[in-house]
Amino acid sequence: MGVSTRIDERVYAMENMKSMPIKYLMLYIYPNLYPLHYQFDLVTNPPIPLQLSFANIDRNGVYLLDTYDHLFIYICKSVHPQFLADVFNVTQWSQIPDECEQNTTTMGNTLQRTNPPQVNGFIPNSGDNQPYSPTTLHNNNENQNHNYSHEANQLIEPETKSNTHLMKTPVINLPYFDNPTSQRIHAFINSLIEDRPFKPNFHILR
Amino acid sequence: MFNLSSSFSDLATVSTIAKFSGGSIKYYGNGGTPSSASSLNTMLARFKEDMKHYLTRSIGFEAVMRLRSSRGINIHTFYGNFFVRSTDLITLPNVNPDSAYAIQLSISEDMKDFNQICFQAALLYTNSKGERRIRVHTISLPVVTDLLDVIEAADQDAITSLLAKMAVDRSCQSSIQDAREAIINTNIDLINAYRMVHAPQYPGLYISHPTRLLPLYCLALLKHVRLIL
Repeated sequence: MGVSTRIDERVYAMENMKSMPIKYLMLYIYPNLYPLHYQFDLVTNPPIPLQLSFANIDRNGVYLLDTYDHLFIYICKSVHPQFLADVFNVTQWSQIPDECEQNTTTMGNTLQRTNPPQVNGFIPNSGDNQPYSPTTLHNNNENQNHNYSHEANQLIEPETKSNTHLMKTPVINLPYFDNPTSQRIHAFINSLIEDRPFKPNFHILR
Repeated sequence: MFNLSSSFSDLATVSTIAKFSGGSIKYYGNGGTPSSASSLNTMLARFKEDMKHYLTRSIGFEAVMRLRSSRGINIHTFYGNFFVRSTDLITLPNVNPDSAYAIQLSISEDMKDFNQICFQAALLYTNSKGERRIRVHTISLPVVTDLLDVIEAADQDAITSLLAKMAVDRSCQSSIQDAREAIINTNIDLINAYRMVHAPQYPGLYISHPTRLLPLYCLALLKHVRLIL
């Protein structure tokens, strides 16, 4: 298929599949995608995971992709500026601390995409089928790839740009500010990872 | 085993130490040199949290686990990090809440005289206070004559998890392409079997409600970094 993976990553994924508990193995195989750009409350109205299809990605949305060993925050181009100011303390979308800034041209050359990139950088595309019966299996959706998130890991990590803010809990490199949006996002992320045995790798993407 | 190296470290060879001794592997791979101090700090912060969890979690030592089952059921394979001492006995130097073990069973005799079968998993271990304890789980499952009842009681998470483990073994024995085809064939067989027992009124692909997400999970499995060609 023309896409190669590093052998260490592949062997690590193998070992993980054989020994992870089911709850986390299902997250590892089929991650959870949470929309973060609306008013949610941890107790009464928590974010619910979406199906992993690019049709569900809103142009002005912010999403959290949880694959058990990586946490991605994905910020789309038309995001509301108030959100940017609250969570990242910047005024422009292009000022968001992004790990992928060096990678845009490499991404464009190595990954084949048939849909136009909506944002500058990595697109966590996952084209999957409807899970309702009767199911029909389309093979022509495979180019919208669920594997992009794992591909991007290997491309992101070697060339991480050092623009991330260091903060209170250094495991999660998201700036923390004293307003309700930032607080509830942090509370949500903490509720996801606090009972996990192994802490995830955190990435901000736009 | 915690692997924080930034270059190729032959995890395939080095990880066997954890495989047979009931251990686990954690790889922080940066793939190349970490290009900034802050990403290195993040990695170290994660390592610190993971190590803290590793040293403070509940644990049992010197354990053996045996699975007993009714007559007619045999144990085919074990999946996980442990050492298999005999047909139904596995040795686990340590038992911790973060590992999972899978056991694949096979039916060797006709079970038409039974209306239920029982399984018992017994774990003999030493707890952290030094007491030698046995923990037993017993489960009893009904035997049915109709294939439709079996399909309607399927657990798709468990099926996906077992498929993933079987794919790992198959790709070590033959090839990754074989493992991918085996996963696809499993789905085809399931859909065919369901069609045979529950003929639908109209054409189209038909799958049972409890296994409706199985093709989706298998597609996700095929696109995982583990099985990408």
